[in-house]
Amino acid sequence: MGFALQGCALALDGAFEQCMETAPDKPRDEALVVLAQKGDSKAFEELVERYKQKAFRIAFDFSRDRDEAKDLSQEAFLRAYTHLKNFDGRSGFYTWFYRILVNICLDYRRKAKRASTEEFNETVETQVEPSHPAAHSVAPDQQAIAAQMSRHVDAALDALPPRQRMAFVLKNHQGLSIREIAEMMETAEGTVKVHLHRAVTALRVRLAEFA
Amino acid sequence: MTTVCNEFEQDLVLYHYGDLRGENRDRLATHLRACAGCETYLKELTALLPLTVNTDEPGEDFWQNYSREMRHKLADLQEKKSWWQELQAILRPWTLPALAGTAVVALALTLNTANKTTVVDDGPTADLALMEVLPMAENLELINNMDVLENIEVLEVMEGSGNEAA
Repeated sequence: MGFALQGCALALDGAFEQCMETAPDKPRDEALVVLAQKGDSKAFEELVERYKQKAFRIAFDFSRDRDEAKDLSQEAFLRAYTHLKNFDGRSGFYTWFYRILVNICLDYRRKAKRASTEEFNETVETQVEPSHPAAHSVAPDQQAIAAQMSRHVDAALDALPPRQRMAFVLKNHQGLSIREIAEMMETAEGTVKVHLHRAVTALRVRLAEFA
Repeated sequence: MTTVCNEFEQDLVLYHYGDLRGENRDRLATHLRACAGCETYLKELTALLPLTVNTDEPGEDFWQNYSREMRHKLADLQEKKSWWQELQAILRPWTLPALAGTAVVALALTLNTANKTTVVDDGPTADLALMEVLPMAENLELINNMDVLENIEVLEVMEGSGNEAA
């Protein structure tokens, strides 16, 4: 399985179809789904190979932890496999699969939300108080600044409500269109725009010192 | 922090991501040329938002391990699934007759229990009736022993002699 196919997975609807057409020797998703529905696990493994990197990245945007991201994305594949009979082909396999993944990630965030908020508050109060003179002297080199920035960004993202965060990472990190995000989150495009705007506003306030 | 025009704030986010089109895009572009606040806000977004992307690019070992784990998990899942399907396949030919048989047995048991209930119910009913009759019988006995009966006999005798006289 080459990276060309995984690149296809990253593309949007039309581009994805086009990409599949350029690789005629590879079976289309739909064909693999039909085989998998008939019990061909190899066909499903092929789908896993196609989408594992993309799924991992989305899960990583949510968990910011490699092991958690692996578990979340694998859970999404297993759930997809279990419910494969329910896939009716009205949307593409990857849209259907990412919807499962998005729901798993949202559940994960909801469970982790309270702890994360507390952690964020602690971080803000104790570590990265911008007006504190010590905060400026802690970062003599770029690495320290990057580490501090990373912690601050993680905390700021953690503080977002799960659906705002989902809309934001799918747009900002994954580059999906508003329509695709709406489809994956099973909501209206207008709602996605509102989530996105609120997320950006909140992040801008929290990360103002880095702008 | 930069002050931004409220009416354009949401559009500025979409504009940054290239998701604003048509008339709205043109209107905002015109506004941006005249509004320093919104222009600065857009520059802030451009500087800030890419910083929030924290990528993790695991090596080839990670992905091989990932695929191996997935194969194991899928095999486990399939084993559980096939075990259940096998059980279902075994049970399927027997399902309808078994259900019918169960229904018949349940019906028979219900009827039998109902009959038993009637018999059992007779006991208390009969007892109650007897308890009602016994005091009445006792009352009759009492009445028989009462002097008034003698008086009635006297009255009857008197009535009889009266008739004879007539």
